[in-house]
Amino acid sequence: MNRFLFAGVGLVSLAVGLWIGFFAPSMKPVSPDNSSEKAESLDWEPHHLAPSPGYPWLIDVTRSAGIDFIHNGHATPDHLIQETLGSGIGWIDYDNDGWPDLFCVQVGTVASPRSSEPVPTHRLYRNLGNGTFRDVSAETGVNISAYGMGVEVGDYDNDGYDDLLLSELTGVRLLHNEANPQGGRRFKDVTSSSGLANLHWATSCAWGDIDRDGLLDLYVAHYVKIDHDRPAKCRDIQSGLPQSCTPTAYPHVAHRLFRNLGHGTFEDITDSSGISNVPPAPGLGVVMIDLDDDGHLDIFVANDMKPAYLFHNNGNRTFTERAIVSGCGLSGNGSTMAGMGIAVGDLDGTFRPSLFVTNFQNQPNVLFRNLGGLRFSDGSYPSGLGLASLQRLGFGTALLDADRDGRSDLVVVNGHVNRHAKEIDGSTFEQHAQLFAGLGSGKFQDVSHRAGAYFNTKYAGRGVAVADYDRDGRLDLAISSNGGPAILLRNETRNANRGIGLRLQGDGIRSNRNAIGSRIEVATNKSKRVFFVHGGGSYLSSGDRQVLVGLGEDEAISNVLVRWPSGKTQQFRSLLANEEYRFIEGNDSAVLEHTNKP
Amino acid sequence: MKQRKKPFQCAPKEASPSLSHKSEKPSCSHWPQRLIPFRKIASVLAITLLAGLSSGYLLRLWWTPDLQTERSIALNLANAHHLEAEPLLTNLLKQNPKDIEILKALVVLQMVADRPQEADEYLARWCKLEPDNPTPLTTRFELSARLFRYQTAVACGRKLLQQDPALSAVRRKLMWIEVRTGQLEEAIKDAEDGLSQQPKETDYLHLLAHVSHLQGEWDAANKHLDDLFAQSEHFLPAILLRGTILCETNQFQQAIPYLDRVIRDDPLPENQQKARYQLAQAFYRLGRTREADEQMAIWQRHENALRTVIDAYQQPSNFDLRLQAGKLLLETGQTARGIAVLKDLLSQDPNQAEARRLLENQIRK
Repeated sequence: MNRFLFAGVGLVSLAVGLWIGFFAPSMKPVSPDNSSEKAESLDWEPHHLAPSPGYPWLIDVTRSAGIDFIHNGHATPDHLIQETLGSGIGWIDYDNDGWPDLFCVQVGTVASPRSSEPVPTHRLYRNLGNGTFRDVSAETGVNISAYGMGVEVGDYDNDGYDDLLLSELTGVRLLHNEANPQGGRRFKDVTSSSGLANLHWATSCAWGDIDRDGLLDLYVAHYVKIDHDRPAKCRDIQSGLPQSCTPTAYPHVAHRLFRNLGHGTFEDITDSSGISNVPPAPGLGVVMIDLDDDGHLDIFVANDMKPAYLFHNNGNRTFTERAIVSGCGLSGNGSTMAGMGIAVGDLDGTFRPSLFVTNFQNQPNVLFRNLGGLRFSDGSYPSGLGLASLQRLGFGTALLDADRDGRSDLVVVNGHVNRHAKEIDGSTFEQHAQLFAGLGSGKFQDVSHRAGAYFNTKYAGRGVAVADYDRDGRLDLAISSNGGPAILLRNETRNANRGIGLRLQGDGIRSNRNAIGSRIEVATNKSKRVFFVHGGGSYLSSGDRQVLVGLGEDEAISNVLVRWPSGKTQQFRSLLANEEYRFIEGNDSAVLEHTNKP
Repeated sequence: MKQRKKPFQCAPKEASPSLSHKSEKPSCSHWPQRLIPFRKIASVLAITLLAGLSSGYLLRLWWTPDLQTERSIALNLANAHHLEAEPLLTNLLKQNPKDIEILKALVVLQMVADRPQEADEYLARWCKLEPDNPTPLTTRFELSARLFRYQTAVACGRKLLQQDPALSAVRRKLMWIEVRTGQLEEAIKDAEDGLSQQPKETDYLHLLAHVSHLQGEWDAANKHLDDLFAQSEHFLPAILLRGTILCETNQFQQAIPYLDRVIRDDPLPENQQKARYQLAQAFYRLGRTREADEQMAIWQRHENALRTVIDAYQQPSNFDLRLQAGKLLLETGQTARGIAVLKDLLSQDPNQAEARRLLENQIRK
C-alpha cells in the first residue's frame, strides 16, 4: 500500500514539476497599465457624503419624491444624430396651487422591444406639497408618445394658467391648459388650430413678447434636416468607430418666429421679421431677453458648430442679426461653439445680462460679458468657467443662488454625445455635472466636489431646470439625462443666509402674464442687484420664473423696482426675508404668498 | 569544556517513562513522533518535484529552438512591416508576455496599420515592463497626446522629465497639454523650469504670456511678450497674441498690423482664422464695416472648407463630399491640403474625373 502511495505522490509531483519547469515563464500574465484610467472612476471621497460648511449642498431625492421617469435612450448601432441630443425637463405649476410640478419629456415613438410593454410617454408629476409627487400624466392628457425634445412653459393666452409647448423631431406641439370636466386641469393639443405649423426638427424654444402687445410670441430653433429612410452614417476619423455625424454634415433649415395674434392663433413671421435672412444653422439653445436695455426683447441662439445668432429687435417686428458684430457669434479665439445650453443674467455686477454658452469637449464653455451697447467680450477664462469646462461636454445650464449669499452660482450638466467617447477622445459618455459658486465680480469657483453625491456621479446629462419645488426658499434642480433617469436634487445648503422669492404677474393686457421681459432691481441696505425674467434658456428645458433673491444675512429688501414688459415701472418696499411675494402689475402692494420653512 | 553539537544532527530523545520501547529509538527533534511516517513521502515529493522541474526545464530547452525560429520569422516579417506577422507575434506574446522585442514589433505593426489605440495597449505593457526605458515612454507620450488621452500623456511626460530634465521638446509639448487640460500651475512651472535651462527659448515665454492672457492678466501677458520679442520679433503665435490683447483692451488701430501680419505670414490656417476674426472685430469697432465684413466672409469660406473636410472623412464612402472638400480647400488657397484630399480620393476611386481634372490643373499651375 505504502509503495503505491509513494508512487502516486511521486508521479503527481513529477507532473507538477514538469508543468512548472516548462511553463513557468508564461504563467504570470502582464496586464496593460491602465491605472490612470482606473483612478478616474474612483469618484467617492468622504466629503461627498456630508455637507461642508460654506458650500452649497444638494441631495438626490428622486426616489423618495416619487419621480420614476427613465428617458428612453433609443441607442441604435447606427449612432443616429437624433440619439445624441436627449430630451429636456421643465417646471410648470399647471394647477396654480403654488407648488411647481415637474414635466419630463420622453422619446416615445421607438418601438418597444416587447409588444406587451407600454410605449413610453411624456410624464407630468404633480407636486403634492409635502416633498412628494404623483404621476398625473394620464388624467391631464400629457401621456403622449412622440419623439420629444424640449419643453417651454408659458401662458400664451393670458388665461392665468401656464401652457406647454413641446418640441419634437417632427415639429412642435402646443398643449393648452384648460379645466377638466372631471375636475382639476388637463391639456388639450391645439397645435393645428393655433397655426403653429412646423414640420422640422425643433429643439429649444422661447416664449417672449417681441412686439410688446401683451401676448407671448414664439421662437423655435431647428437642428438639422435628416433623411429618415437613408440616415447618414459616420465614423471617427482616427479610431474608425461608428459615431453620429456632426451637424454640419446635414442640410439646415431656417428657425421660425411665430407672432401671437391672440385668440389662440399664431402667424409665421419668419420671413417678414428677418429671421430667415441669415444662413440656416443647427440651433440648440435659445433665450429671449433685452440685451441692450432698449425695452425690446432680443433673441440669442446658440448654434452647434456654426456662429451663434443675436437677433437685435428693431422695435417694429423686425430683427437684425448682429452676433459677430457684437462679439458673441464666436468664442474669443474666433472658433465656432458647439452651442448647447444658455444661461443668462447679471454675472459680473454690471446690472447687464451676460450670456453663458456651454460647449464641446476640449473647448471652453463661453462667458460673453455684456459691455453695454450690444457689445460683448469673451471672459471665459478669467471668470474661472472656461478652464474648468475643458474636460467636459456641456449641455443644460442655469443660474441660481444656491447658497443665498447674494452672488449668482451656476450649474452645468455634462455628458458626451459619442457613446465611444473613451476611444475617440479619451473622455467618457457619462460625465460629472458641475456647480460653480459665484465669488462676485464675474469670478466663479468649481465646488462640485463638495456639492453632493450627484455631482460626483457620472450621467449623460442633458437638461436642467431650476425651481424651489419644496418652497423652503432654496432653489432646487431637476435634471434630465440621455437614456437615464430624471433626477431631482433638493437644496439642503445649511447656513445663516436668507432669501426672498419674487413672482411677477403681468396684467395680461399690455404685459404678458408671465412677465417675460421684466427687469427687477433689488436694493438692500448693502447692495443693489438686477434680475431679468426671460424666455427660453438652458437646454430643451424650462425653469420656474420665480426670482429667488439671496440676501446673505440681511433680513429684508428695502426696495424693489420692477420694469414690466409694458414699460411701466413699479416700486415695492420693505419685503421681509424668508417670504414669497407676488407682484401683480398695477397693484401697489406685493402679495405675500408663502412663508418659507427653513 | 562545553561540548559542541554536530550541526544538523538530531539529538537523542531523553528517556520518558511513559514511552514504549519503540519510542526509545533515537529520533529527530524536527520531526515529532506522529509525523515520522510522512517523512518518506516528503522526501519522495521533494525528489520527484526536483526531478520534474529539471526535466521540464530541459524539455523547454529542447523545445526552444522551434520557438526561437518562429520568433525570428515573426520579427523579420514585422520588421518588413508585413501585417501577416501579427497573429504570430500575438501568439508568441501569449507564451512569453515579457518578451520586449515582440511587444516592440507589435507596437510598430499597429502603428503601420494605423491602429494607434491597439498600439497604445502594447505600449502600456512595454512601459510597465521597462519603466525606466525612455523609448516606450516617449512613444506613448506622443501617441497619447495624439489620441487625446491627456491624462496618460501628462503622466508619461512628467516621468520622462524626471528621468531627464533636459528633454526640452518633451517639456514644451507637455506644458501645452497641461494648458489644454486646465493644469495651469503645472504648465507655468514647466515653462519656468525650462526658462531656467534655456532663458532664450521663445516657446516658454509664449506659454507664460498665453497663460497670463487666459487668466485675464493682460499686463503680465504683455511683459512676457516683450521679453519674447526681445529674442525674436518674428514669432507668429506671439504676434497673434499681441494683436488679440490689443483688441481686447480696445486698442483696435494698433492691433491691425499684428493681425494683418499673421494672416499674411502664418502658414497655419487655424491661426489665420483667429487673426481674421480679431481683425474683423477691430474693423467693426473702428467703424470700418465693409472691411470687417470682407474678413468675415473669408473666415466663413475657410470655416466651410475645414468643416467639409472633417465631414468628408467621417463619411469615408461619401466621395462627393470628399471631392467638395478638395475643391473648397483649393478655392481657399489651402493648396497642399486640397491636393492631398484629391489624391486620397483618386486612390480610392480612380474614376473621379473631376478630381483628376482639378489635380491636373494644380500640377499645371
